[in-house]
Amino acid sequence: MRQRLVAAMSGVSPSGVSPSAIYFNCPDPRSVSHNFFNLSQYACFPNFFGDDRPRTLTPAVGYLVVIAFGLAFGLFTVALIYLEHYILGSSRRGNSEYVLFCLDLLL
Amino acid sequence: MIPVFVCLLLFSFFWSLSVLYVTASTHESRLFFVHLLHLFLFLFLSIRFFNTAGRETRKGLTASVLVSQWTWAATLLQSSNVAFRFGVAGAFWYASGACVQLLLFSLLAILVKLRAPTCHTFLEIINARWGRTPHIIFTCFALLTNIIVTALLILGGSAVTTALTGIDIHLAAFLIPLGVIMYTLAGGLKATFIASWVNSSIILISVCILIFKVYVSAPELGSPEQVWERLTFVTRFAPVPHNKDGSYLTMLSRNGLFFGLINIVANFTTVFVDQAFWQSAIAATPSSAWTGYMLGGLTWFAIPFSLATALGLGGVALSLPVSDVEASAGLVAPATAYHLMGRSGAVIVFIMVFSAVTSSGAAEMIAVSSICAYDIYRTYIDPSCSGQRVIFVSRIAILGYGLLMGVVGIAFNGLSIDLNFLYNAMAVFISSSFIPVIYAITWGRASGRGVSLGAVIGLIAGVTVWLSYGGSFSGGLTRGNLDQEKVHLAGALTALCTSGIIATLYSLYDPDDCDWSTTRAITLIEDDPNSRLTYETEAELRGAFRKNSIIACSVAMCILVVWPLLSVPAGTFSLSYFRLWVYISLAWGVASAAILTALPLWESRYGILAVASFGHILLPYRESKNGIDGDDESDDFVADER
Repeated sequence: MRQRLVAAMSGVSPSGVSPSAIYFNCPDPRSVSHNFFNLSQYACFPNFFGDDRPRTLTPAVGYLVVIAFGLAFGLFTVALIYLEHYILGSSRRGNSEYVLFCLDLLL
Repeated sequence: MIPVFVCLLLFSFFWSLSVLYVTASTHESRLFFVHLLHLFLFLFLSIRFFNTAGRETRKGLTASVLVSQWTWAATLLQSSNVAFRFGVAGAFWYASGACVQLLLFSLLAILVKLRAPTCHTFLEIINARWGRTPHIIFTCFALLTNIIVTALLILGGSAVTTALTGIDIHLAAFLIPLGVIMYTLAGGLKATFIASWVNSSIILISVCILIFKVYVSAPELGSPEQVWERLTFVTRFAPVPHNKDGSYLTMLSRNGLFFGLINIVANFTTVFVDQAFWQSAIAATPSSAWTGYMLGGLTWFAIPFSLATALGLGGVALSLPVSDVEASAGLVAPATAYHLMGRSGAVIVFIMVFSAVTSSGAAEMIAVSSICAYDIYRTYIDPSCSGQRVIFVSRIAILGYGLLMGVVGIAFNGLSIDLNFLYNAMAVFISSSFIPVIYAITWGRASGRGVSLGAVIGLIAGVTVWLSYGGSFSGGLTRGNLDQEKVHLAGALTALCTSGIIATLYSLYDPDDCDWSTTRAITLIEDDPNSRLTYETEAELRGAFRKNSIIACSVAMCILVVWPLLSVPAGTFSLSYFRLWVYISLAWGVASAAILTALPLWESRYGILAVASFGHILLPYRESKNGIDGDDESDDFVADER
């Protein structure tokens, strides 16, 4: 660890440019962000999640979480509420009250 | 192509529902439509369960709900961002500046039970005390708060979704609320409470995984020593402006402190003017209300503190190439998690953010629906409406607001307003309503005219100072000038102080004379035995208020003043001091996860047993409800026989 730190220190630039830009001889050194430990996978990166790089996860995973996870979670919660009210609850309305409400809504 | 298709599908679904109802010309066809709606929604809950969860929620679930609804996408993302920018001070000030509100809200939770036991929203208290004009003004502030909070949720959620998966940001903003709409629409507040427990458990367990990864098992980091050494090294290349020695390892951070002050002011307002937090107090049993808030505040602290100490400082220690734009959009946490754990890290952060957005979004939906139903529909349109009519209006409001959430997110994304800017600017716009709302339940002499003038003039003064101070820097009125910590702070403090001074002075000059009889007389739509206090419970609550005033204020002072002062002599943290800091964050995270995951299950063990056995083992549940087994909370409510 200490050796890596010392090695990285050798690339310090007084001009404020990241030492990583000098270390990797980047074409546009001023755009390079951080990476003071000269990690090769981020060589000359101006940012972490660039538009031109492959995404961390595929869109399918995104849709899976946002839609499928969301809907499954919703269904689970509703089912649980339904079960609770069906088995334990006094909070559920009787049919007569439901019909009265429907009439109220219509009138 | 897919985004357009999904949008069209959603639009056509909701559009056809509306058209079906509106065009149904005969009573029979309308009745048929209502039956369909009933089938779609599964449940036909009574009003007291839909909007107040029966006022029987216990402390574990109350704490769990508070933690999940106070854990915004911003909590997970912005806390790591400020740790990335200001170091340990950023992580600390985020956590402390936003947890004291829950601790102090425990006092209001008791007062709500004592002074307005039948209310459904805090705006009903304002209406009962001060009448129409203040009610309209504070309804606008409450809705503005809900909209800003919702925008923060959607901005954070959609930014992370897009950065990690490449889904179109507008589509992500529109899709995220879908699942939330479904269960909120069907199950009301109780459903959001159950969902909140699942979400807070997911979030806290994920926090534990991530902090252990950073400080125990990651090959590059893996110990406080490694992290400390790397942070010290990074300081040489990129010192933090206005931090002592430019170090990430100090609490002596000017910008960190400024952020902390903005955070405190903004969050006091977002908690105290957000109906979502009032409804948790209303839904709780009297004895659970304040203990739930205390427990919720203390356990919530772990989420930003532990997570930012892990991922924010971890991101700096790894010197990841996260740009300023990415950091402002809240992408430090996903970047660090992805670097350390690969795709599984990205998935963990993604699910955490999604859970935070859904649980807070559900709470906001219910809050807005309650305001629409009770404070707009019931107050100004149909005062004699039935309970089921209120539920119907609530559901329409949930559906409408759920769709609006997406639109708000798209609009802010289109205006290039990011999470960081909106989070800081929020205080300028809503903090003038904080003191007036507090006065509504705490100070009987507060004048309605005084608080209204204070809130409105405070808002105007705050925005004026914000714009004029921002415009005084070179370049004039630019987004960059407005988005400075000191500019936000000036605007927020002006709004807060102006409203406080005006409301207080006017109330002293022309005091109101409220004995809380009007707030106690807020009418219920249908009888709710849990809203009645026995003489014993009332006396108990008064005792609890006195005791809790001391406890809540002491804990808040410890977190806000004593802890930071104790860390000042440390200057730039030594290795041993940083090690202690990390161990505290680890222990706090683990304890919070254990308490919030297990306690609600334990408290509801008989109910769970009864449901899991499909009603075959009902006896313990009934006994616990009747207080035969000595459950300390089951006998809180008995019909008032005084």
